[in-house]
Amino acid sequence: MRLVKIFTFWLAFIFVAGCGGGGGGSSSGGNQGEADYGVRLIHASLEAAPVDLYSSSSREFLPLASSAFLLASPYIALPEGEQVLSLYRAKSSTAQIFSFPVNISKNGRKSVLLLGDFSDNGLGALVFDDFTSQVPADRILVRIVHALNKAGAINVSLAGSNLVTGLKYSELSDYVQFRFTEGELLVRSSTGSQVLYAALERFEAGKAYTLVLGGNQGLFTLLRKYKN
Amino acid sequence: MRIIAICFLILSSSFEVFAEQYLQDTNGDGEISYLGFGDSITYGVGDGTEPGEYIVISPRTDGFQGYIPRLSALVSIPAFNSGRPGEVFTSGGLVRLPGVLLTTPADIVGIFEGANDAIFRVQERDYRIALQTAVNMTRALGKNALLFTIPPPCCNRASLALYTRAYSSVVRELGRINDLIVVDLEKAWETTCNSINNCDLFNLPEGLHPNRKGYDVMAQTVAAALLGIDIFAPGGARDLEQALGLPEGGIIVQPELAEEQL
Repeated sequence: MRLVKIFTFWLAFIFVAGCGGGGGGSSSGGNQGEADYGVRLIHASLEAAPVDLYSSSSREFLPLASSAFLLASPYIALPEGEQVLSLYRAKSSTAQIFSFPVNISKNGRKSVLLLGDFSDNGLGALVFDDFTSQVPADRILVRIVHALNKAGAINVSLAGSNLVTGLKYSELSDYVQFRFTEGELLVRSSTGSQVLYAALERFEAGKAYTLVLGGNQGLFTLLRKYKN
Repeated sequence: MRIIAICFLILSSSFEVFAEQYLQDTNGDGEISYLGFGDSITYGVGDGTEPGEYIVISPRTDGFQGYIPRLSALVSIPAFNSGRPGEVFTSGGLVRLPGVLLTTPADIVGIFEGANDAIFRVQERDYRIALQTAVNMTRALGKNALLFTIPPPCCNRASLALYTRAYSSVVRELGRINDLIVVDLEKAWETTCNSINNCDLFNLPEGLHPNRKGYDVMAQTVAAALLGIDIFAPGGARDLEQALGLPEGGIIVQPELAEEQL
């Protein structure tokens, strides 16, 4: 299991505090400099409002990308090197959720994923590298992020083949290679047989995917898959 | 004829993009339909009574009254009622919503809750989290969410207004952040009531559930919001009358007065 860089600044109160401000794009569009490489923003917090992503490398204080629940922005090209990325509540120049340093490499891809809630977990963000190499034409690569609030560790299988076991909340699995392109994706609680999510999923051969399991267990659970 | 008028209005209105986003067949079932999700006011409690009647407890009605059938008639789309009298949004409504969303064919979901939360003095922060969660669930399932501010209770229920006004502020803010249309019933009450402290749109002296006239105002305000018409602007009522093929005076929602008129 890959260790992902976790930033949890427990500033949820900022997120829910009312305050105005200007600027901002649409909930999933209006992004600058869409590219094949760079950084993208994925929103996986059921309780959180849409968010905007900013970078210290931007000359003007304009959002690079925006995202609402279970939507992902396109990749946004950024200058190579060290810089600070910041997440703000959408359409606010004052409601910063948190910021964190990243190193942008040439032809690299990173995802910034917002997760958490306003009670048990607080709001947090994961920053992880996405797959950029060639996937064999008859294979798929799949990994999953556990962003389901109030849920313990999970076991995940695809078409009966194991994807990951014991994945804890806010963890990201390694990529696993499969030969098939469709099958039942089954998410179970690691400590019991409770099925948390089950659906037939189809994939495009030769592609790598990041799956995001989001929501609040017992209320609303949904899974989205994003091509890398 | 009414559909033609609506289409013309959408194409010609300055709000056309926003309105077109809402009036879409998002699930591809061949028609645009609406679902009202909420509490007793969505259910239609209090409908059928007239201004001037003395009502301490509003009649429950049969679940086929209120703003939803009026809206369906006005804009000629199917509209479903998922109102539950007495429901507290932050505890019951939010839990009920996913099941409703998964089973309804509606493309547009109007979320109108909070009056019962005010009775239990639910904090503004908790209302905000619940409403954003509801918006996220609705949109994640491919439906357009429509938010409602709350008519300010009066008279026997005047003490609730402190909370409902706070919730209405949250509704407007989340509408802006999420790019959602807000049906501003609080404003409709402020512009149209004969007296905001003794409003003739409510059953009185109860002061919480709309009467026949109040539900007319609700439906007209929702219709205007869906069609992208600013009903509070000078001429907004006329625009809506034209869009819906109604005679002059058919829309009773009053415009917002300019500052110099106040």
